[in-house]
Amino acid sequence: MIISSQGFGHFTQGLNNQDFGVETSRMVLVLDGCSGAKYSEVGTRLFAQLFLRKEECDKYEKFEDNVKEVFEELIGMMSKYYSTKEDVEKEFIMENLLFTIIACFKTEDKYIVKMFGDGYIITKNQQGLLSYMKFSYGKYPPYFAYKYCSDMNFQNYQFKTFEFDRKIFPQVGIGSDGILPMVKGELKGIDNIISKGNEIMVSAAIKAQRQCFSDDVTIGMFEGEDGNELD
Amino acid sequence: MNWIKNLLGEKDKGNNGQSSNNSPKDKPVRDYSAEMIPLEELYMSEELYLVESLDLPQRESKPNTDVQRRVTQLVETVKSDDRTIDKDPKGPVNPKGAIKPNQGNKVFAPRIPEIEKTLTIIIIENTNETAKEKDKLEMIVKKLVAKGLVYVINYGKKVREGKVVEAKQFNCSELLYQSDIGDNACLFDAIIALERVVEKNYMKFAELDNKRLVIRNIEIIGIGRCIDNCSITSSQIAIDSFTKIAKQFDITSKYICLSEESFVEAAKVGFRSIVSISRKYM
Repeated sequence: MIISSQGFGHFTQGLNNQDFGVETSRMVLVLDGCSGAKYSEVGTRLFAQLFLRKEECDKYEKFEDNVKEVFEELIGMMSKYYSTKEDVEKEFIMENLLFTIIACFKTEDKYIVKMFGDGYIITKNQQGLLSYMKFSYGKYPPYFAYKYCSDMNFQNYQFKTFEFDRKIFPQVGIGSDGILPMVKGELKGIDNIISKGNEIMVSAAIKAQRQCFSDDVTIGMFEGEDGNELD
Repeated sequence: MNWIKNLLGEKDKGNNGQSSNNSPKDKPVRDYSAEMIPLEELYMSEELYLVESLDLPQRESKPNTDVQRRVTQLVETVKSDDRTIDKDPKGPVNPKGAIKPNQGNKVFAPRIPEIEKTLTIIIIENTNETAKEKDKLEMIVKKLVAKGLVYVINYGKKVREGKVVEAKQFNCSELLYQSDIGDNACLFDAIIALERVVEKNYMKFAELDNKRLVIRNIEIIGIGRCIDNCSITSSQIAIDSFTKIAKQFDITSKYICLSEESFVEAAKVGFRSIVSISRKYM
């Protein structure tokens, strides 16, 4: 399931929901657009569409190569509209392609999370306790698109990979950094709703308390058949 | 008090204040319905106290109408309530803390003011690795335990427990022991100690001078790498104990890892919020 909701702060400022998420049977992908980039919602949606057209896009072994290919194709396609390389970087990459990439893959025996940028991994342990792992890198988090910019310091950064044994963690999900109010406990009972993995209920709970969320919220999880076994 | 008399008399006469054939004189009767106070309001009105001063013959006789019966009941209620209003000439009406008998002769104990405090339990790994980050950890802990009560469980080769202190008196430099420091960490034994502390303090009242202290919120803060290599307690028992604690209402947990590598270990135990002290993208 993918749940995405515009943050109330963005609503009041007249900004679109810059997050986006897609899913297949083996993968959930969350893209969290940078608030500072003018058209990051365009970048997230464009990237997701093209990424899904890649062969075996939901195979974790090929994930990093696929991401790289899509970025190169997008930049290659758009370069002809700009006169210099600097313009491409400044006006296309920096305004469109700055977004966090978090993907969760489900294999027979484990969940594998790959992330580039800041966000959350949500896990449920054997006893049914939810944990929110926060990955935060300050005001200027690294974005994959910086690899295509000449003056950035993030050229050598790689995807982070985390593996979760499905016997120990029956449910694993991912989220954008906008879920912070949930982690802080501002939404009473949200842990129970998330651990049941019911898309409609999670979505309703977030939208009912929309004013808590200043940033856009996106959660990606596999439907809760595993989690429900425990409940 | 004419309105009461009219209220009672009027109902006898018939509906809507119209005069009936039984009236002694065939005078046109004034319509008081607009002036009447609803009975619900009447009950709350001060004027009700004046009702008992009326000599209403209807009270002795069988009430004729529903309204009359209700007014009679109200008068009875006011009378009985009036008994509970202290009119004891010996002393003040209701001195503070006095035991006040009510109409049912029930006795209420004087109410002691309650003070609610949050207890922060810090469960910190005392190893070489954490000692390297001592300054950073002290700063983080200082911010986290600004108010309430603090209790520190320090674990390395063995578990050391402090005592409950006020946050203002808490000295962050006591977080880590400099002696007996190594690479061993008995996290699971520390979790058992944690369970004991929670049981001892959660929702328990402590009597102070004229006050009662109660801890309704507990925040557990783990610090370290969330590893265990020398506990007597098994991981399963420790995790079950932690689950028992964490599932209780108003108990929250957080783990501050030295690096993101420890996140998975902290999630295995079941800490709710897991963060790293470092913001560097490694």
